[in-house]
Amino acid sequence: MTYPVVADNGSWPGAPSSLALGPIGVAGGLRDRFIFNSLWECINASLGGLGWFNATRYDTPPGVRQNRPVTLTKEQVNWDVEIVPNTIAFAPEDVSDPGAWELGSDYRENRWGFYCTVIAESEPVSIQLAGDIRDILRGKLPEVGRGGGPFVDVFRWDAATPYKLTYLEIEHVAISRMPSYSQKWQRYMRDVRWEALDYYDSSEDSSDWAFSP
Amino acid sequence: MAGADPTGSFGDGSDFKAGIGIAMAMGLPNAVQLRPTFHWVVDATYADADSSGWTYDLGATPISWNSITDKAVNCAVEYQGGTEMGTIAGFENAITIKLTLLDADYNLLIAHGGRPPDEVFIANATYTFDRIEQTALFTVDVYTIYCTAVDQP
Repeated sequence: MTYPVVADNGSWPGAPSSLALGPIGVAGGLRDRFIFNSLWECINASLGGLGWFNATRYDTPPGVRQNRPVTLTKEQVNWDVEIVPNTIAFAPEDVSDPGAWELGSDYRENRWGFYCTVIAESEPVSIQLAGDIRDILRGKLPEVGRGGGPFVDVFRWDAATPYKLTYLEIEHVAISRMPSYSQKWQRYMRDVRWEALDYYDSSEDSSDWAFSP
Repeated sequence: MAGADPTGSFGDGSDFKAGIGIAMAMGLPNAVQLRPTFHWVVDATYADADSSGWTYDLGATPISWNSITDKAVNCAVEYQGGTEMGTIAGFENAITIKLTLLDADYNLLIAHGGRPPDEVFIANATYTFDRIEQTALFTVDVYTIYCTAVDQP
């Protein structure tokens, strides 16, 4: 499934008007799965748009791209599958306790850490891949539909035509690298980490944990 | 010990080579595609490359390139220790292997690629070269190539 193109005004054309821009409607683990999938689809589509999946390093003569093929995983591959550079592993981290978005706000902030581990074939490819992921998340690559700042739309992926459910605000995007390593495959490894902020609307219920229908 | 056998029993090494060659072939998988296949990474030159030779525009057409076809030669494979690590990508199994080639087979690789290969594919796994050591059995040069699996599936 491809990442839906969002209109400039932030709304998905097929979305019901009541849900087009609202952060409500789905709660619980299903909401988390939509968030997880939306982030992955966003990064996957954007890396594809940048040409990372068009690699033909082993072509004779060399093809369009000179890096080895890039794979973006969504979960751990089976142990009988060879993990070769350039592999990017997408993974969720901890979800922090939600707090009020700001003092007096009806919105609750849900802060979810994510990261991508880049296992690259060379230092230049590692730097470029990690930097592309960083700016995909920061919304600084309009040429692949990722302009407009650090926001990622969340879609209802269970709909026949996925439509926008809410959005995430991306914060604290950072690239880290181990100063030393013990394995050869870690030579050109980098982690891109960020936090995705999801805002719950609790205005229609007295409970902090409640969600609007 | 390199050089001629002072006892003369080694002769010109032809019997030794033939015997070792049979022993090497005996240990290889019957499926040809699973046998060690040596690979040379494409050597390309770009107009806008950085100091390590990587182009800033990964879609650029190289000025020149040297693409070498893979080649299989007879060799012995010895699986050694390694390390295993669970990662978010999967299970990384970076075992090391030791390839032993006699001079005739090693020279076939050099003649084919003009330089030592960069990688070897064995049974659906990719191994990158760590170092090449050269010893000898009298007049026969022996090359030992230490490799590490990118990930042994």
